Amino acid sequence: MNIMTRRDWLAVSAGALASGLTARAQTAAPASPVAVARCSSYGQELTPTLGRMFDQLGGLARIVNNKTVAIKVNLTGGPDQRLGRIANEDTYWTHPAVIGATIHLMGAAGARRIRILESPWATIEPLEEFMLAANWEPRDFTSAAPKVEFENTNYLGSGKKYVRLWTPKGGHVFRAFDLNHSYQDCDVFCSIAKLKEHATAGVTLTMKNCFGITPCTIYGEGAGVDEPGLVPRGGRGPFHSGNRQPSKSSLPENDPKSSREGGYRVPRIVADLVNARPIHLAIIDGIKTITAGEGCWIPGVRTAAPGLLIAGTNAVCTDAVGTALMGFDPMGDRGQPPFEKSDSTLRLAEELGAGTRDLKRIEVVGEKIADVRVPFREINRVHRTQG
Amino acid sequence: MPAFAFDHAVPLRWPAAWRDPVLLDLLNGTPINCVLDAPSAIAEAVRTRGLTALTKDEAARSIHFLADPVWPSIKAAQHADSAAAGPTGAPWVDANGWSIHLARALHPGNPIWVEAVPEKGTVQNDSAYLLAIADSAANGARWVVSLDDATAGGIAAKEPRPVERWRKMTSAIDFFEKHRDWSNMPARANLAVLSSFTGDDEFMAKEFLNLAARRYLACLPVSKQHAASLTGAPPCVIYLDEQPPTAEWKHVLDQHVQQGGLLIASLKSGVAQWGGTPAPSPVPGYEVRTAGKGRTIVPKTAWRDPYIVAQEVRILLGRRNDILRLYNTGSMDAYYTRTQDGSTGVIHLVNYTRQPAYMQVSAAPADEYSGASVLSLERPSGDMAKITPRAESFNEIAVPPFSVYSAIELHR
Repeated sequence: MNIMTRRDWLAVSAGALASGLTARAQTAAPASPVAVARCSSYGQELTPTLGRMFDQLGGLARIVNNKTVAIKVNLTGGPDQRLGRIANEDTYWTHPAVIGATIHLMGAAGARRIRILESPWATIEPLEEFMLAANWEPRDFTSAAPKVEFENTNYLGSGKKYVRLWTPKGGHVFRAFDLNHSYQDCDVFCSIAKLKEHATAGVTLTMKNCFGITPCTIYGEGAGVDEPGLVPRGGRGPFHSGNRQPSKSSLPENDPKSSREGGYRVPRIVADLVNARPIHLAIIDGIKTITAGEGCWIPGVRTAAPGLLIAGTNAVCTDAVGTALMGFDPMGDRGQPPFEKSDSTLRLAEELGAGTRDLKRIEVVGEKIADVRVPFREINRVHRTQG
Repeated sequence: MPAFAFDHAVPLRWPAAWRDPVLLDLLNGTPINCVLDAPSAIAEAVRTRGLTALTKDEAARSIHFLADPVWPSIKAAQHADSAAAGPTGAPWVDANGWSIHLARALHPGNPIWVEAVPEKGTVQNDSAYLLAIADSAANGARWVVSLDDATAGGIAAKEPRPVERWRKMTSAIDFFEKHRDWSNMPARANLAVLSSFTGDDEFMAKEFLNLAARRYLACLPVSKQHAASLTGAPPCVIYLDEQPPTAEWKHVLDQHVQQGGLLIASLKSGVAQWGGTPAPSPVPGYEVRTAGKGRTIVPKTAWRDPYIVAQEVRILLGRRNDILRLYNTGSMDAYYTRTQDGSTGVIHLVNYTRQPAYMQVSAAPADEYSGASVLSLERPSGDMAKITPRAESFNEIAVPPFSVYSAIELHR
């Protein structure tokens, strides 16, 4: 005899309600084209390939002409941490050639000012200095277009106060974030990410890249209790574990009694962030990368060379295509690869109306997904088999 | 007492558990030649064997004993607010390197001995002792061999594991004594730290040295009392004290700036009143002025937290002035020395985790070399190493896995 307890009934009802919400979100969420191109190296083919992709999206000038552009790059970890002896840009950092080519094309398309942003690990060191420590040359960026600037956004930086950006629909975890001024003082926000998996969130693409727009002076382990700290101390552990609230000068979580599990929290916070700070241009560097994690500190990560570039004007759509190119189903959710231990950021962002993850609704221009898919788990399995 | 070459003295604190003079046989074939604070009968037997027996007071007439030495170790952080955590929540390293360098500046010509002792009641393992030896020797000092009771008793009873521990320890001491010339090479530093290191200046100056070491900021301590010039100092100098420099030191510092040096000075040093042309600061809260061929940098408010000062100074110096870049060195200390003519350099790496690094460690000095070999306690004879060219110099040398200590010997 099949007896349904009140607990079972509630679970089914909640699931049905959630699936209804998801179905409605899928229908309502906007869809935009995503460009996919093969690019086997960071050499001469890179800039023309990116230029062609931007043209396929309707041209860069319509997005950046006469605008101030903020570019969030991904330089996770420290410049003195590497996977073996391989330069970080060839493993899990956005490659400087991709950043430089994008800046060059933006300058040519009439961008008024371009600001490169990142929140490097636990330091107020200027971004240029952080890059020098990684043997990058910041002058390569400043010479790629007129008026190129850098800002370390892990603290107040050159601003006089933090800016508060609101999540329009109230947010899953936070209804607003206090950020470095650079995330408000721009007309166009661009996220350049690496094509990677993520130990907590499944994948880390242009949306998860925005995890790093939050200043650790407010949201980090060593953040000030009442007011933001003067300098960032430690990382964003509280976003993962919820072991503390942000500085009291900022808004706390919507529900401090919600789950403290990283797989629940991180995707929701990322979805909140990209709703509070929408991404106008999403670019994924999939030329060289790693599989099985987001950095060298994740056991079992391996190098990979998918030879791909992905770009779009909607971050959810772009990340959905990126997820598919890695051999995963962007419609998948907790329990399915790559979301074995987490909820799907794609679904959560979609529910907030940021964009659709449904490939049936996304126009892919350039290469077809099926023709250039590089199954990440297969690469890792082969590596393991071959020792 | 006959004349004794203290420069060559390799000390052992005689363990209380060693009551039989026949245990002096343990010193046969080892570099240990000086026994501290042995009972009179043992001391007599030491002298009979042609070795030196001293009390600590006798030794202290010629030796500088490091003040407040720490037992070198790493303390993993439990959480960000843990007392064991460093200011960033990262594991905190208890190391004596910065303190040894300061002692060498304050007591020039005196050998430095480090009397770090295992915590009472603890039993240390092999690598803990090797770390104690390397922590001192890599920085040009000598550790006073001090055994925990269980290890000393085990060695006396000829138990296999303690005896093997003793063998490893004396082999490590032998390794460092064979490379004693390394400790005579001048330190390759990118910042001279000028202070009295006493009284009101002591806390900030010492903590700065300690915290700067954790940022691989290679500091050369310069004592205002013991030095009269900046000869041989790097082009960047920090004046940490809260009183203005004497007229003599003001002249030296002014000349340093006029000739192209960088001077970072405390608010009350008076350097802000020396004049110059205002220039942009890479760190908020500082006033930068160009003067002659150089620059001065002064904070707008007085320094309080040495952690912040070390972090800000690291940025003010800029990465273009790096003398050494390190990769995947985590909780290691590094000390780079080079002969006056620049023909030979040595990079010492001390690994406080006492386990081979998870990732490939490599070092990239700013100076050009054509040959390199990497030595370690595991491979004391060393292996030739490839120098991989990189952009803007900083050519890299990969360091094979090591547990406690490795040295990269470099030749032009």
